[in-house]
Amino acid sequence: MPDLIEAGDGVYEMDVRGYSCPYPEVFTRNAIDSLEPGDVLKITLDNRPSTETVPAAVEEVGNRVLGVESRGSREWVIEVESR
Amino acid sequence: MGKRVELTLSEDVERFADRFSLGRDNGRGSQHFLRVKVPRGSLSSDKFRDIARMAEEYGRNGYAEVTNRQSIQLHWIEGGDAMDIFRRLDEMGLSTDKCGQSYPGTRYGDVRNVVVCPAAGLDAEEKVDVEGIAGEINDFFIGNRDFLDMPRKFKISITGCGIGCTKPHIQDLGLYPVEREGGVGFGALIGGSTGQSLPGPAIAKPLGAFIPKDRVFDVTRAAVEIHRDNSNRESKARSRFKWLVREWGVQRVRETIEAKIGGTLPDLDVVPEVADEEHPGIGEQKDGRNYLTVPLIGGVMYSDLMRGIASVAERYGGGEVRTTTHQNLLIPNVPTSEVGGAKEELSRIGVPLDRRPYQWTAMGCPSDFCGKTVASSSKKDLVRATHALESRFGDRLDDLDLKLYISGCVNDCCLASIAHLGLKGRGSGDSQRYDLLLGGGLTGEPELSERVAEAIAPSEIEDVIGALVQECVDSGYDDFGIFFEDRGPRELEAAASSALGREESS
Repeated sequence: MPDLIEAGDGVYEMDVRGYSCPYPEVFTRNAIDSLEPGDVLKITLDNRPSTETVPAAVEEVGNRVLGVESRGSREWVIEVESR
Repeated sequence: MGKRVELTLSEDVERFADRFSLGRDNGRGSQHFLRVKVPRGSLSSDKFRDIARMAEEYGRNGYAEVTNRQSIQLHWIEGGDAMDIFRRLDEMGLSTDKCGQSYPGTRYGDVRNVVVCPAAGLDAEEKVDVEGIAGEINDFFIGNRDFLDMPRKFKISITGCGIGCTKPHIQDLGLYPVEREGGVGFGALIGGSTGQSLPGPAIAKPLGAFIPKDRVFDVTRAAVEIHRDNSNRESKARSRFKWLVREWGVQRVRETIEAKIGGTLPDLDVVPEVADEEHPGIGEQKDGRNYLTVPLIGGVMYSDLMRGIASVAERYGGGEVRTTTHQNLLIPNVPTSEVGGAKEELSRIGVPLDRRPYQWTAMGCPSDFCGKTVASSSKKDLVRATHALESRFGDRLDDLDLKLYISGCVNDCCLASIAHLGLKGRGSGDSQRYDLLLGGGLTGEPELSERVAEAIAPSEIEDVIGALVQECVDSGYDDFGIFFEDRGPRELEAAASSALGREESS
């Protein structure tokens, strides 16, 4: 299971590489539940469809997607602000 | 490293991650599909009914599909419902394919649902019952972490029947029965695939070895390990087993298998004489009872029909429903005295058994869900094609062997590459076009189909298929494959061009 790591003041990171749908979405929803409003979560993943489904899932419950960044051709980082 | 914060995940997530996933849809408003593996193609009628209920609760309108790998696929699945769905499937003892397709790299390939003769253990003519072996193979690979991160997926089929219903020529490993002095064993074909990944569509090659029944599992495991440990991890286009078979050659693959299982296998030069047939209509079982194959066009069914079929299986059979390799269903164990009643009831719920030969085998893929097109779908185009054939030819098709397969894209999951008459989608977006492929087939000398026309619009399918079938039946042929062999691709290319109102290519 992935770890949620506090990387700095109000900034958290989670590595979900190796997980396909729906797990990146499940982990992200769960991680956000642990955060305070204004905290930022950076999710590293390698399952391309999750670059669409994770942002949609977090926005659906009122959070804000700060960005989806490609790291090379095989990994992405999604940055979410908890609301 | 920073401070670790505990996620409050249920234990189920840990248990489910290796056995369940959702696939990505990109059309008809569906974000995800759920592909339920049906081990040995066999479900109790209760479980079949439960899946119908899930299609209603989590999908839309109770819509479901039987795939040609004998899985059952639902669409419109919400990610937020996934864990509830997985819990229900887990309680039923079922799992799903692992969706490794979407990773851009050469990773997370799994062993797909093992395709098994749907009449296994039943058919009066079968050479060997493969239910036990197939179950052993399935049980070993499902959720096995040693085999969840292969360069790409691996496809296995096994049959004990003599009609090659499991299409061994297009599997990574296709096992078929061989009778020898001392008992029945298996032959194997390796490195087949209809997909576009390199080296392109490929008919599997004979391993050239006789596999005793008690070595089938070991050989299968060895072949999958060879793929896992040696297939290309640099290029996704070259990471299917067929590429390794081409690079290594069959002999090296065989020697490596033999080294892994700790013994040499006897030589074998027997290949399947017949393949890619369905077990149509009413089949005689070895115990004197009967199995009834229930025809679905393109594998499409709705929950009401599923419940109706479950009830027929309970009332007239032994309460079991099987999925076939041509997107149909099969009800086993119907006593002869009950066949009439079962047929009548199946007709009443909309699936009469009096279908023509081509209707038993016709297949189409759900291309509108996977997003390869939004303007049309291969399943709908298959329905359109069959309606056109029915209205134009009717009874004249009663004796015609015609394998009509339609795939919406070059990944060709519905096997246009081995069709007598196939349509394979090209491009994507809102203007679906198909290439017309003719002359494939796995019986006799296995052949890939040849492209004879490009970029056909769905609205043109009726005319072009109608013209070709007209020429076939008017000329007295009862096998479209032989018609193609006799006429050749150039003559039929001209006929197709004429039907499409196009200039012949020079």
